Amino acid sequence: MNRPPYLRGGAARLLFGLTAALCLVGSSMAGPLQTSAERKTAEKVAKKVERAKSRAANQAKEEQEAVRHFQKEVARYVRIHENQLARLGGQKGVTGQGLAAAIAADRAKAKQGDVFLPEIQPLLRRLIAEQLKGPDTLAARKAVVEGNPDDEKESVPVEPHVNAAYPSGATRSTVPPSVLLTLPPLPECLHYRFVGRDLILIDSIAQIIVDFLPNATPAVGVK
Amino acid sequence: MKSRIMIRRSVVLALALFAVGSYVRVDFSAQSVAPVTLKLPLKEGSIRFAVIGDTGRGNSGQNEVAAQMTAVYKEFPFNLVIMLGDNIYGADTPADMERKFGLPYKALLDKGVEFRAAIGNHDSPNQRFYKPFNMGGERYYTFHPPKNADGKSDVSVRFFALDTNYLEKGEIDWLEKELSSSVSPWKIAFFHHPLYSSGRTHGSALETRAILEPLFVKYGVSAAFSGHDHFYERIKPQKGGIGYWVSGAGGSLRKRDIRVGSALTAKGFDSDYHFMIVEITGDDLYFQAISRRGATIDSGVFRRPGAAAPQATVTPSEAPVLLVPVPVPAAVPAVSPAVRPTPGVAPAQPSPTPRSR
Repeated sequence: MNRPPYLRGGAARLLFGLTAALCLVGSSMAGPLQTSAERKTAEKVAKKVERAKSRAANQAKEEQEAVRHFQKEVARYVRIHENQLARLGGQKGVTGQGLAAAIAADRAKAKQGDVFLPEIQPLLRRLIAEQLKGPDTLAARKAVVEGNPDDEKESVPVEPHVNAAYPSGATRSTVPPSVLLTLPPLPECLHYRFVGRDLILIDSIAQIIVDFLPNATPAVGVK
Repeated sequence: MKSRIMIRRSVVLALALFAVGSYVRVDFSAQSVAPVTLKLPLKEGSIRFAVIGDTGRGNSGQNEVAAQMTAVYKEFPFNLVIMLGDNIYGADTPADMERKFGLPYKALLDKGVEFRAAIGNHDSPNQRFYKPFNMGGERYYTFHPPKNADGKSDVSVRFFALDTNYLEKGEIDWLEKELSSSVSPWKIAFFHHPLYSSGRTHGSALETRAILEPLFVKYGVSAAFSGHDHFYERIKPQKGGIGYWVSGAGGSLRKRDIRVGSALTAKGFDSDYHFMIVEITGDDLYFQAISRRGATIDSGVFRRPGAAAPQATVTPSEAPVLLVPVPVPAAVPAVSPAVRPTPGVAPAQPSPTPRSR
């Protein structure tokens, strides 16, 4: 078969052309915005967040009971916070440290587990694990690490103790929205945060640690 | 014979190296060359603001960016600066606040420029009580641009400052309520964690995106500014035609952190500190990202999604646009006590819009 030279590489050219065309089509189908892998990951994360939203709405009865007791303790703390704030002259006249000292004095005998009651602890651990373990949780795991004082080079170390001040210069862990949507809601003056694997309950104005739950997150990597 | 060949080869090699060296030298110097002109519409009555992110270190990078902002202000008077979080790294005693905020931006503060902050992961939430950040005691809040010289606040633009470090149900519900009731054509959100980013270190905050993006699309948010990744990146318009910018190198820098070849990037810059200036006039948002050396690293115009034009587009300018040359001091910029207020821009009054919950 004596084919002319321009036809000899025909098959190779055809293959090359087809590959290029497929690449173009593939990339355009993924959208000009993201690669298909990124888009798929984002879609999975969005579904996970949706599941977290509906999870909060469908709590089992025994869970509701544990949450009710926990919220009673939270309300007790909020009263202390508000009383001390009022005693010091309200938000305008008070510094975080002044309020922290007053609250710590008021709760001098408080200990770990007073607010994070033993009955709520397994539930909190389970709710957190649901959002951080298993498929499609990388984004949440990364968020927990970002800003976590145990993982941030630039942060001052934080040692969780009840009534300890959250140090100025310590970073704050990002709490993934999926975790926040499943954990029992808190009033504005209280926040959940992570320090290493511990979950802390922090007064967001006084910046003191109200309670903590050791090893609340499963041991998970972010790779 | 062999030695002749060797000599020839050496000469060729030397010439090649010289050519490459010259090219590289020219290329580098081009980046540090003093700038020339500022290009925005500079239209009377337009809404103007600057954008800075990840600033609060009190280091030379932050100070040099601040000096450049002050220089730009003379040509482009703006009365608002939005801060994208990580406003104060490390300790936040009054002395720290001064070193990491008050001093670097003193010249602008003295002119009455209003700063509005969002909280980052390095920030204490109590920054909401720090008066110069104008947060009205709230972690998340909304406001219109400060009043202009004529004393009017322009309601065609509404800003939404969010706390993405702790995005709980209360904040999500609040945002939905505020967005749904807003009639401002321009809804601009700013917050710390980028919904889209090509950063190797952090990248897109996917969980935050899963919450915020549907609200942004549903209620017509036009543009969003974030920090966290320490570089500049303009993202290709995403769902709903929303424009996203990452501007997290106002005082922190992570060189070569943008993933090369990322499908998200319209324009990226990760080799120096920077800030942004923005001008809104009608349905167009003009932007310019400027390095601490005064070089324009990106500029263009972004059409408001849903505006009369057929499609939201970002049109980068063809040629790099440079600013007025400014000597960059090594330390905190000296502030002249005799600075005269720029005509046409009245000192803005802080006007926090209380968050309704």
